[in-house]
Amino acid sequence: MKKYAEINVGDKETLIHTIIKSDIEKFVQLTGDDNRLHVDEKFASTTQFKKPVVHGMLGASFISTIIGTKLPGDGALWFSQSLEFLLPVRIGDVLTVRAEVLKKNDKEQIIELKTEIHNQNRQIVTKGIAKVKVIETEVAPIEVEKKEDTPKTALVIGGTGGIGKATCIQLAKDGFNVIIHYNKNKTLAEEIKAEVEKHKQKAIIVSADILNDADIKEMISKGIRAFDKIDVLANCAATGIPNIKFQDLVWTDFLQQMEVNIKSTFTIIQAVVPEMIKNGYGKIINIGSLSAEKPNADWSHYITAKSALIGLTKSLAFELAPKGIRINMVTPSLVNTELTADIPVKIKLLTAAQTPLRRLALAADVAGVISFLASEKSDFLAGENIRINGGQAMI
Amino acid sequence: MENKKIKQVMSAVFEIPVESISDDASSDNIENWDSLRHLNLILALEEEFGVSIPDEEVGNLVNFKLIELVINDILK
Repeated sequence: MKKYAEINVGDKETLIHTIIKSDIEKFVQLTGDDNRLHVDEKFASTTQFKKPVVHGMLGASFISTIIGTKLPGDGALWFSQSLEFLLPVRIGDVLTVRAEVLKKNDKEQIIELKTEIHNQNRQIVTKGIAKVKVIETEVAPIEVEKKEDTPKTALVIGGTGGIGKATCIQLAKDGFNVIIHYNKNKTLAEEIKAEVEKHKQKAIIVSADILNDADIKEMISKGIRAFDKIDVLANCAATGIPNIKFQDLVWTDFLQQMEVNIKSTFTIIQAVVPEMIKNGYGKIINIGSLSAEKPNADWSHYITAKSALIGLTKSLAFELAPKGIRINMVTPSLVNTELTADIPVKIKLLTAAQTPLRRLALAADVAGVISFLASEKSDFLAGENIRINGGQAMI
Repeated sequence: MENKKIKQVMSAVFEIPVESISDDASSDNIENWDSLRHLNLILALEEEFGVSIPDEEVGNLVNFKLIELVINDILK
């Protein structure tokens, strides 16, 4: 089919059809119009036409054919037609049906066509004006992505943290090359790189201060130089969560959480998105916290930042999804990592006891869902928040 | 030491052999651990250790590890 944009005023199409007796019989069978002028030679001979005349609408029906198959073709919505039957058509006539674009209405995507049917003597037997709306199939550009054989590349921010490390390894198992970001722990980053390579995937390690814009740009640039592209961004960086009673909180406690959870996430996403837009595809995964939906005391600075991250994730997902970038988040309950090492054992035991699956979340549980969100299996998710809490909170 | 005594108390309350009470024992895997026996367990623990378990902790003692942790905290 032709797309509306591909159709120009003056475009023409033609089809030829020779009328045979069985055409009339089929038309009568279909419509029930057995007017004797069309089907009875004896009757016709008594009229001014002397011989049977082909139904006018039989000839005109070939206008439908030319609109529906050629100009514009599949998806044409033929909503108006004027007709003048100028000369009779007989069995054996060779009809040439012509359509020519006279006008275009860009706003409504409507074309106006001059339609004419000529006989073998180049006489116009039927003429009229057709109006057609060009309907295009609803395939957004983001759905016609090229499926590549080359592995996708994932940038894991905070790749040496508990969830970050598990994510790097899970992504490698699932066929991703990995850019492992670390802040200071180069030794661990190199160990994780070796682990990724054991799974036959490529990896590089990149150090960056995620609160420093220049560092972030350099990190993205290094990743693209190494792998030509970044398909996935997993924001796994986190900072400690000190228990602070509300009356003891100072604004810098909030700022510290906001900087790691919001400022760095915002800056990294802003730096990587142009590359993803260029490729017409990207996956971004942020990590939330169950505490944003099921709060606990003494964490208002952290909960505020994680709640803001929900808003950032949803708003960016809405804005960037039309460009092929899917932004989602995962929300784990208490995960047994170094970050939560200071949480009292009793709280951990109680949390596990109150969880229907009777344990705390593991970094691998979170990494599994992140890898799902990084994969093509989740390509129709945008702005989604997948909770990983063993049934602790069913919202 | 408390570990062994707690298991003995649990054994008596739930009427099961002490050997069957592992460190992972909980209301999920001890069939007799219903709400009535839970109250008996609290009373038995208080009597055994000569302590008073705070009301807010009563509902928390749903497995062996939590009982051990809370009793040890109280005994400190």
